[in-house]
Amino acid sequence: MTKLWVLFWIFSVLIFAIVIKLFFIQLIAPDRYQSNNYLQTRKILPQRGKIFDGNLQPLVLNQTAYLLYAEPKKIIDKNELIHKIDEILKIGEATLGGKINNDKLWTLVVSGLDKKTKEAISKLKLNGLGFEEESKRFYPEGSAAAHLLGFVGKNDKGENIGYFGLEGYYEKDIAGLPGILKTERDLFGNPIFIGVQSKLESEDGRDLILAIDKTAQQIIKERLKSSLQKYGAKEGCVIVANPMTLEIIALSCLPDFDPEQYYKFSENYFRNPVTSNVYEPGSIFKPLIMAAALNEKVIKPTDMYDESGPVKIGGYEIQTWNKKYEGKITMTRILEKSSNVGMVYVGQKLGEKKILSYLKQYGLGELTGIDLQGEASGFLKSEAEWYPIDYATVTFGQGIVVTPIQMIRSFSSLINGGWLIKPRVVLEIGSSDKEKNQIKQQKIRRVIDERTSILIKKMLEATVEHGEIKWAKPKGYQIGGKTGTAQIPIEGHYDPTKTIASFIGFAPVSEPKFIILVNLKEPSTSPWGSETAAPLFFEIAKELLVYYNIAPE
Amino acid sequence: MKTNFKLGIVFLIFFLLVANICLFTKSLFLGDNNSKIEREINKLKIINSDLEKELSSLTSIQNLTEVASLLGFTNKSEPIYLENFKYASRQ
Repeated sequence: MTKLWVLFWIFSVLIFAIVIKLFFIQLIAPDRYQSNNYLQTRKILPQRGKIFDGNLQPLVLNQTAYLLYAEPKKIIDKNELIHKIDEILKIGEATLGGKINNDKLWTLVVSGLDKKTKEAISKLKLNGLGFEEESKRFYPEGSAAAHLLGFVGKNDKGENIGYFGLEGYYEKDIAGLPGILKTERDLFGNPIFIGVQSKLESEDGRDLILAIDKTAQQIIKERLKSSLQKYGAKEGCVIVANPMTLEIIALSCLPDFDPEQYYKFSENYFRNPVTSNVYEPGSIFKPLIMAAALNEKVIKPTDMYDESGPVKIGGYEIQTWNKKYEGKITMTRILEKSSNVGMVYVGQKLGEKKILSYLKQYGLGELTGIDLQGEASGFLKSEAEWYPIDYATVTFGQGIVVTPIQMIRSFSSLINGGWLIKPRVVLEIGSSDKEKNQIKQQKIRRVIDERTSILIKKMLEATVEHGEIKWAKPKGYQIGGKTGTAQIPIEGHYDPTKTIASFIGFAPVSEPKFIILVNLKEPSTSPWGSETAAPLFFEIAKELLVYYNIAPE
Repeated sequence: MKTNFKLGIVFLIFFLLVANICLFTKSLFLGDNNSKIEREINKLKIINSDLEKELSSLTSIQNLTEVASLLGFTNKSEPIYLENFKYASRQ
């Protein structure tokens, strides 16, 4: 009996000792035993989807970058280490000293290092430094399409996340899903073959294939850049789209940012003015009202209007832009000479209710649904807030705000047979080895009929042919378009020296292949769209006609 | 009979012991091999992404523009018919 008791106590003490040790390992000091993980669980990060242009040329790829970390407890001489790595990294010894905190077991020094820098640091063979691989975005064309693409930054957990443009809009599709790897590892960290091995594969992000044409993108960016300097404009945007499908072929706004080094730019640079900024469109809006009046058959292109002088609406006087009045002119001539008073007449013929109805049908005041993050809807006042002067000024594009993408969408409906179409940048989502999803064209509604579309195209062609200024138009091509000069409202008043100069045009007239909207903010050489935005339009149109191999008509 | 049975048990235990050691060693080698293959795949992925990066840089429009200007291509190589329509009409 005594022997049994002795055995019982020995076992009890041993079991108690085991329980105490387990309690210590699991609850008191779990950190100390973490490095000896027997069962390791690791997150398998997916590859972010790539972005290609319409010709399958890469716009965004992934590259392997390296994260440099330090284990301060293992560092032998901290000062020497800092001095040596700063000779390569050049971020300042004080900064590095602050990052390598002696109280921590592991600390991030710098991320996003390229292979050469990594190899240079590795050659130093310093104790207490290590590298981890990470994925980073690479842009073969640099910032050629910065506003379109957006960039990949970090969220509050330090994970990659897309911001703005396509990276932001398609985050869920291109980010992919992380996998999990659970393995039993031996003393050396190698997996034990007969141990627990469970692997849930990560799913790489899906690739995006865009309607964007890399060459067209480069053309508009180069031309816009030189025009900003030439005309002394503060900002500028150019959008090129296929008016029949509303596929965005090219889109560029300057100033822009470097998506690879986005952190060097302030937030103001990230907003895409084409989708996020609203402005008063000015005279490029006139064809929308003219087409509405033609569609309602209240006017014909050959109808006459007596342009005898300024028009009074309420207490306000409306004049032509150059204060010149030609007497009896046709509806086509109203567009050619961009007559404000003529447009007020057209608006009156159309009627207030119809004006408001057409503005809604053109999709103003609503989101276009373009697949870019951060779209603004613009603003359309409710019927009760409209005064007679508002119905008059809206006919020549003042007193209403639109985004450039709304403007190009509604204008496209005039030249594509009358259809309001949802604009899109992405044509396909998927990867080479998996099923691809095509994003189909979405016609929203018909705004004007086919006949009106043909009439307004001819009127817009006449506007380019017989406009106030003769532009360097490519010979043999029929081009339609309209200039615009919108004053910028500042503290409730218009400053005549500050304008947004615009031109919206298309070619060829019979079967438009592209529509281009050019906006230049506050050009200093001339405030007029006809002297700044229009020449830029024709420069771009000329290059695109060659690039797309469009024969003269 | 009893001695044979005992001997059999001893041999069985010895065999199982050797088999266990062999299996354990084999699993160590396989585990090690597994790690090597993992590292190799990772290395190939990096080489692949580096090559993809290099290729896209070489075929980028920015690089091609630089090469074209070095080779003497200029804007003058634009089709003449844009300036002189009669050339296009003759064709």
